Amino acid sequence: MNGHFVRGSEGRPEIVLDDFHGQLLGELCRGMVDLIEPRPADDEDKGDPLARELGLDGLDWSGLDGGGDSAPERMAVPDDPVLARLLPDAYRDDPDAASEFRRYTENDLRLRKCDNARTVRADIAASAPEGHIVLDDRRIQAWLGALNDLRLALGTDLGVGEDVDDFADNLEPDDPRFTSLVIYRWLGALLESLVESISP
Amino acid sequence: MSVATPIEVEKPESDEEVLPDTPWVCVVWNDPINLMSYVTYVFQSYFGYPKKKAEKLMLDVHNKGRAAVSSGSREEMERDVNAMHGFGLWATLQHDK
Repeated sequence: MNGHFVRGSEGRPEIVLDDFHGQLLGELCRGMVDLIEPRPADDEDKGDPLARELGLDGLDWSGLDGGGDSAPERMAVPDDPVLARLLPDAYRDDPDAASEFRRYTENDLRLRKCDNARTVRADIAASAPEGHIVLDDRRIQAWLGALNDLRLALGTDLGVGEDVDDFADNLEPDDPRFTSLVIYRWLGALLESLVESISP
Repeated sequence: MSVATPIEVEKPESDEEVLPDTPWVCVVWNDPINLMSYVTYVFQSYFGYPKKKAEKLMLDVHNKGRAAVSSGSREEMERDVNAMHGFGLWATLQHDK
């Protein structure tokens, strides 16, 4: 169980992460929270700056103009390819439906992904100094989600294809992406061991 | 045209999918990152599919680029797509024409 998950004596997945790998995973999770946590500031950027300055932006005008006739702004898929992969559109050929779906689900999806990353980070912090971590059912889901999200983020950023070996062979030894690729493969092995440890 | 008489229908006890009248489907798309074992696990744990069926769907996604993994009402498919996004799978819903 050093560095990878095994099914423990009570049938639960367990792992021992050394200091280096624990800190690395904790940092990656912190980065994920920074990336995906919903920001109230995003909303403040929208709307009328003058109205905001006058303190009028929080008011509900629907009673004055006879009802909200202005259509809400369309919520498009994020420009950042990593965020776009983590928060994909639910409809391929219907931008209106995709926007509507996003309006009602994206915030919650972001929060769930944040919770997963925070759970992993907290588990690692709580396991010091031995680094021995045992997962109950709730934590299994959080770890699966967080490890997979981190792979999606790194893999999208790197632009890996199906054949990772092929991708690695085409990198120069001093390519800065090499470190990310090593981490990407390590996360893959970690996730694989977790899935294996919970498979009947 | 006939008038329907209400009758009680027992649910068939097979794992064959019974398609409802409202044909929306949840489609999972292939991507180069998700692990095959993880995708299979998600199909088993979320949909409750037997391992064989989950593996077949995973291979369909992998080899054909996409697979319809569930069907039902639009609301149900929105729920499934939302869950797939939670797992990190790339999923969409569409009317199954």
